[in-house]
Amino acid sequence: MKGVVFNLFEQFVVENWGEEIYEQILDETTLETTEPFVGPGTYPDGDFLALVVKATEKLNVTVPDAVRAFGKFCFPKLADVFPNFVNMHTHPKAFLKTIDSVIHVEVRKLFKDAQTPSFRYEDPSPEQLVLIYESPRKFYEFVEGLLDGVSDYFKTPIQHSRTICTENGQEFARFELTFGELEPTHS
Amino acid sequence: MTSNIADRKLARAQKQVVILEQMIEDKTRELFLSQEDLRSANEHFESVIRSMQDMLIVLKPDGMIQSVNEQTTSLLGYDRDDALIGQSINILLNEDTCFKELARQGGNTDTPFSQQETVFKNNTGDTFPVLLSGAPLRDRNGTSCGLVLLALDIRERKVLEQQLLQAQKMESIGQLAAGIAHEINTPIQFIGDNSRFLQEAFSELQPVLDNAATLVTTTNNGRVTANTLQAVTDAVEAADLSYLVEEIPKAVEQVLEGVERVATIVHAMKEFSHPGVEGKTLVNINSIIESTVTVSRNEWKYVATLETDFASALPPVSCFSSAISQVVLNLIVNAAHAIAEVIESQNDQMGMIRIGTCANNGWIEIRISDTGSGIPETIRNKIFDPFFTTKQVGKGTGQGLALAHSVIVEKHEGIIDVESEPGQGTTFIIRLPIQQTQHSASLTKKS
Repeated sequence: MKGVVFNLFEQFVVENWGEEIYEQILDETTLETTEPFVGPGTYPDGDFLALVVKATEKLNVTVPDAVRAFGKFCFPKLADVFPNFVNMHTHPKAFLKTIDSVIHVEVRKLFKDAQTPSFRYEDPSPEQLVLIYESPRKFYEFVEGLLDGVSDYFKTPIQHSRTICTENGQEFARFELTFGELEPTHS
Repeated sequence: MTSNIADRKLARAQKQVVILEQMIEDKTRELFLSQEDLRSANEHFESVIRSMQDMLIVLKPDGMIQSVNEQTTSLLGYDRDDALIGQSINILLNEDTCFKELARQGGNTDTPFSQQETVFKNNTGDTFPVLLSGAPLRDRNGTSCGLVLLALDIRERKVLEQQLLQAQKMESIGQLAAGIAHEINTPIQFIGDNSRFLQEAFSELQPVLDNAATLVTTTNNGRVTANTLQAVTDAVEAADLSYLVEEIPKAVEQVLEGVERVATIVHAMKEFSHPGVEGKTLVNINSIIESTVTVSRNEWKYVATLETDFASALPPVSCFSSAISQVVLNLIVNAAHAIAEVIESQNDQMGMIRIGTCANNGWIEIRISDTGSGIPETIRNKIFDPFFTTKQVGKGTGQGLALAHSVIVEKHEGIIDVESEPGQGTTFIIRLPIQQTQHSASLTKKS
């Protein structure tokens, strides 16, 4: 997993529960990585899961809730770091359809070892989109959190439901999205 | 605790700086190596293109030349490749080349094509034949964004083809020579006989003429005697003048007829054996067939009657006349051989060869039918293959129909087809496009 996710997780904990809690989580978690996490680095998935599990124990929240909240937290941060991928779109549907063909392609250009999930799409109607997510990490709640983050960012409600499917022994998640009207801006 | 946290964060940040510096260094090295690889790959690619002996031309969608290799510049007589870059592909093509039309429409096609014969024009306006292949150039999304052309200079091959065709023609003439000699010998014989008769007739007439001259002189002198008149009468009787007056014109007529027959055969021979001009010329197909029928007469006259049914208002066809006559000869000889086989095996009577021409829906059609043994269904798809023959060793090389296919389909953009009923006979149908004749086409397609 890329170091940027670890750095965002640190920000997420620090902003919500303070620096001391994060340092405690770091101290109490057994990590394979001995050096500090840096954005472009690649680290074991297990280290991230260990940090999340320790955080949920310490903060008394469930792992799915924590991961979902983390996903929602991440999206605006990532959008700030890579505005070009987001700002060219006015509607979340158009943006979401570029994840596999543009964003992940660019990620793999920068980081040859990056293991990006795969996204396939079905487009049943203008107000709907089906996202088919497949990754050995199975970060379904993280995707849900990101979708909430996308909704907030574009100020457009997104209702989503998730179905876990299996095909040829491969598990994947089918997210059925329905987009609402653009929320009016308040002056 | 707060200062402790600050210290820990500072220590982590310092380590992060070191790690990031190392990463930047690694990435810079990686980038340098990638650029080196890219440069090396590019040099390799350019070297491959430089060493190509074919002309490589890349077109933009609007038909403008985007890039060419050195061979293109050199063969077309330009000093630098930038003399061609940015120009329309039309400067290399003739007015009537189909591809030029394509270029005019945008120079773009989604359908690759291969080995089409056309001509290229060099910087002095001289043309030379090329074999042209093309494929659409596609961007990363698969959208066509130009055309890659590969052209092979086939000047040398064309000369060899011409020489080969002429060699085959000479071989045919060699095979036909005995028959032609026989065809010429018959009229020569009766020309000789009649000439000898005329010689004798003249010597028999000589006394009549001499005595007639004496009679004229003595009459003028007023000294005509009975002896003089008797001498004339005797000479007329001795010469059998009434017989000579009747027979001499017949002999002259037969001599002239014989001379005409010989002249026809010689003319046909000359027309058939003519090496032909380099390109296509407008010719009368009926006349080509007629000459070929004449020179091949001895091949078929013992086994078949040959009937022709030529359309009188056939438009002239632009073709390689020498090649077409060779094809017709091959088909006539094949027809005669097929009929001869039937006669030999079934002790049958003379067969029939029919040759007809007509203009039909934009095509000139030639049909050559025989009453031979026919072609079995099982081998019908092989008859145009080179070296395929069912004739006895020494009688057929398996080149006749292969050559016919090559000449009609590849050289003339035409069609050659066969209809056959075993035991009934075979009809070869040749179709030459009239459209091509109007444009004196220089682009031929492989079908």
